[in-house]
Amino acid sequence: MQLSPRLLIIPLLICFIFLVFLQLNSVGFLSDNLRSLWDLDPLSSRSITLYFSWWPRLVTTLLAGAGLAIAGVLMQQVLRNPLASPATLGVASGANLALLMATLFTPNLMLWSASAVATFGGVTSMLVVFTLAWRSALSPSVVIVAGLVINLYCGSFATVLLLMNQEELNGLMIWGAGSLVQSSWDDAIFLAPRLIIATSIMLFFVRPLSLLELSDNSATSLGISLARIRIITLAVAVLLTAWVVSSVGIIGFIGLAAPAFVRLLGVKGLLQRILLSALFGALLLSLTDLLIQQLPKVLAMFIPTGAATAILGAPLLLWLLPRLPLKSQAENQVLTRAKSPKNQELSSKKVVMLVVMILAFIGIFSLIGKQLHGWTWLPESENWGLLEWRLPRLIGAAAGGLMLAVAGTVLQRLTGNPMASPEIMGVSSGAALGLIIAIFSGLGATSFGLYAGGTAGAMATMGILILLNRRSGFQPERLLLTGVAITALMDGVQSFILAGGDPRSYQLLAWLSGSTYYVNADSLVGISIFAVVLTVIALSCSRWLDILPLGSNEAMTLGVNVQRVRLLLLGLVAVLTVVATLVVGPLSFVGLMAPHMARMAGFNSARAHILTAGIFGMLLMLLADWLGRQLLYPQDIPAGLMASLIGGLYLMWGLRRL
Amino acid sequence: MKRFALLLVLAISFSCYAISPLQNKSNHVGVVVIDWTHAETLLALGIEPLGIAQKQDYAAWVKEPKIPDHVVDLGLRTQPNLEIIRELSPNKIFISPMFSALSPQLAKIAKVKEIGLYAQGEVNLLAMESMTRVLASEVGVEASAEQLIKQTRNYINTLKQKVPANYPPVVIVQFMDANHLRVFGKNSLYKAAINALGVKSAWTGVTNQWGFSLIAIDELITIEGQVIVVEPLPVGTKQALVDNQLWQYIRTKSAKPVLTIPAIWSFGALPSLARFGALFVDAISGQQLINQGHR
Repeated sequence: MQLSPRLLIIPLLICFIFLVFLQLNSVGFLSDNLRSLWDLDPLSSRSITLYFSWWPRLVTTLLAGAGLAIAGVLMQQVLRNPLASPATLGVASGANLALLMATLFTPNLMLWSASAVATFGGVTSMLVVFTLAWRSALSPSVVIVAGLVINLYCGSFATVLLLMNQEELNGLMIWGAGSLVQSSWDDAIFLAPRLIIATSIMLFFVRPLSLLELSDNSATSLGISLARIRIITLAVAVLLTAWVVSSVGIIGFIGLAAPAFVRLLGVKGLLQRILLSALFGALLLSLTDLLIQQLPKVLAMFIPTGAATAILGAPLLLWLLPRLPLKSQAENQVLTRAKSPKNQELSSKKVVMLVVMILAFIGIFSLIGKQLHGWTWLPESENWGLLEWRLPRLIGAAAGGLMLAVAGTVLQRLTGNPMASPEIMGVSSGAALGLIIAIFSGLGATSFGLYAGGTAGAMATMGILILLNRRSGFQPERLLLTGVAITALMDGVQSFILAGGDPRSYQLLAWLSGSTYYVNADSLVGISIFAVVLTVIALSCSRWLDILPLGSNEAMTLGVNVQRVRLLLLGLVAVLTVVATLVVGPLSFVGLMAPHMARMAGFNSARAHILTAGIFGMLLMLLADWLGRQLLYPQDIPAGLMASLIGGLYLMWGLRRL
Repeated sequence: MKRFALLLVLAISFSCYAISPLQNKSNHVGVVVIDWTHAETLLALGIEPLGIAQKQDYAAWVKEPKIPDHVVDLGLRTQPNLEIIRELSPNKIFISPMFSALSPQLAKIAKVKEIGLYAQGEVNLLAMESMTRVLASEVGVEASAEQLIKQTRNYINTLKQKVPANYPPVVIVQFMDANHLRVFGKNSLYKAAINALGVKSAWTGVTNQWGFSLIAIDELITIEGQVIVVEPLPVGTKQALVDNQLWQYIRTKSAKPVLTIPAIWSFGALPSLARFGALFVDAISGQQLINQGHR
């Protein structure tokens, strides 16, 4: 598609100027309001508002949009992945976590400089990602996976802190939703010189950076120090993101969309791409912000722009997807295979041993725990009524863990992408969105209403996934990108709700984190049957799952109807995910971790992989449920969060060995 | 040996009596509360619940009436610890309607009673009194309820005498961070309190079910009324506001100075209402002794 960039930029510029004048014209005289930019009238409150609030907001928005877009271009160039965005290296989540921890534990640091804390957090995440990916000379796939793990880890930790301290952290949620409101020129003055310096530095490196698009070998043979250029570029990108995030909060989508649009227009040269993306990003963000300011006040709160860009951006991204040129992710195959140095066979003896371990876990965890008077051994205290609470939660956790792990294994083998997990595919986000709508529209008063809402949401997501991907034959990359867009929509909605300060949102957050709180004995039987039946179905598909990772051509040669099989497996993953979501909530990354753990333990064949991943998933969720209840007694840490925190450590350790 | 054992038993039984101090004052009716609004009302009625959720945070945010030490902490308000509640074996559990999702689980332990104040309709003094009566009838202390209501009304009337006649409208805000505030209006504790004291609220815009609206700081300029800031201010906000010229303009623009009031539980009932009333009147009276612009 060879559209001239001017075709897109000029209409945007016109809209921008129109909205600016509209806003300036809304109250008072246009000429007076324009003059307030350089000639402040200290007696007119309108002039004061414009000078100290509106103009700085406009300028900061332009700077922030440009900064994020440039960071996005740089990341996409280094990581050779059109999906890379400033959030990829965990900068935003690291900054978020740092701010939360400083507010709770070291308030003096916040007094000194909140933006320094945020920048520190963002840069630390980057350093951790670099450490994890060091051995592979910062190979893109490893960096992306490491970034994902860090994102998930910081996010889980932050959610735990948030659940336990909701009153204190209310204000930070507004920052997290990316509100661009200003009350002085401070942020603009902070961002402008930094943006200029960062861009100038990058201009020096344009030549070697352009060569990064080639494969590793070609680039090195042309005389570039791969590691060095990657580090410098990523460092600049991270700093840019950290500066923007620390001054205005978390703004989604711009860093991904602006470079993507520019690439869509067919712009090739790196320098052009950087400059055009900056312009694009600035315009996109400020247009969104100006439009939001025009909206009438319906919800008794302002709309945070960062959340709005994420929410509005998702449909745009979905539209953009079929038009993005995606290279075959051959590297990911290498990554998947590289993780299995030894090859373990799954004997029946091992299976029995693992099953015994599961039963032992269930037994121990239901009999030992903290009660009113400290650690208690249940048979001693004779409080058998407590089993009524403990057993359903444990079994529910195990069932959820099994289903998510199996779904994750199937998905990873289906797409050949180690980043794939049921949550990332977007089905659980869809279920969560359905649930949110059910709760806040009042239909969620009964649990039936909640289940209906969740299922409806999941079905709708499946429909979108199938519709958008049918033509491409359910090609893995596009499948995942669709999921990413839906998850981004969910994240935007979640941060919007949290910013509002409605007390119900914390109950929602607990459920969204993967909570076994609501499991009761009635639903257990149905869930366990589902879990077992679906696992058996997955195991019966092992032949396909052994063949598919070889590539679609090889699979077809071996007689597999690739498109139909992919659709079937996708359906299986969806059903597994929906049932698990309704039990434990959407965001427990067991589906990402358990398959990796099984891989690292050496189980490679499809049957062994599915079975052991399932068992590891069960063990992980059992441990997580129990530990979550003991650690901060009497407060509950949702099992899903605990599973992320435990499993994330394991993943990080495993990544180092790559 | 037998004599020693007897003495020991006697000693223990006497010390048990000494450990529980409020026994004569409060009835042990075996209830458990999740919501802080219910907690403060029950404590004001002289009833000690078996357990309250998030005890420590209650001490930080609600403060009065204080929770006795031996009341058990139930964990999070959004997910109270079911095992602890089971171990306490209460007769009744009170929740507010917005957490009705918890009912199925809680109903297995004891009878669950949903008593709502916010998001149930208009929040004013009458609604709070009605809620207090409902709560009291559930635990059988209707007389105490009438006493509490009468005491609160008398107290409010006394406070009303101290408010100058025709006091201009006020706008009550709470800072979320340096750029964003919650402004309280219809359906909030604060509006109910100041209306009872004969003062109008300057914020007539839309509010959510909990009585507030989230606004950006520049919108505060357009509101005509004395600004009352309820503490606490988030970390770093106080310092940031000192340098903030927009805020300084807001402060100096109005004829009346900006007043600061210590922390109140913004979603409380009669006890919080009385407390806010007292602090509000303190602040207003205090300002008359201080020259304008010295706050």
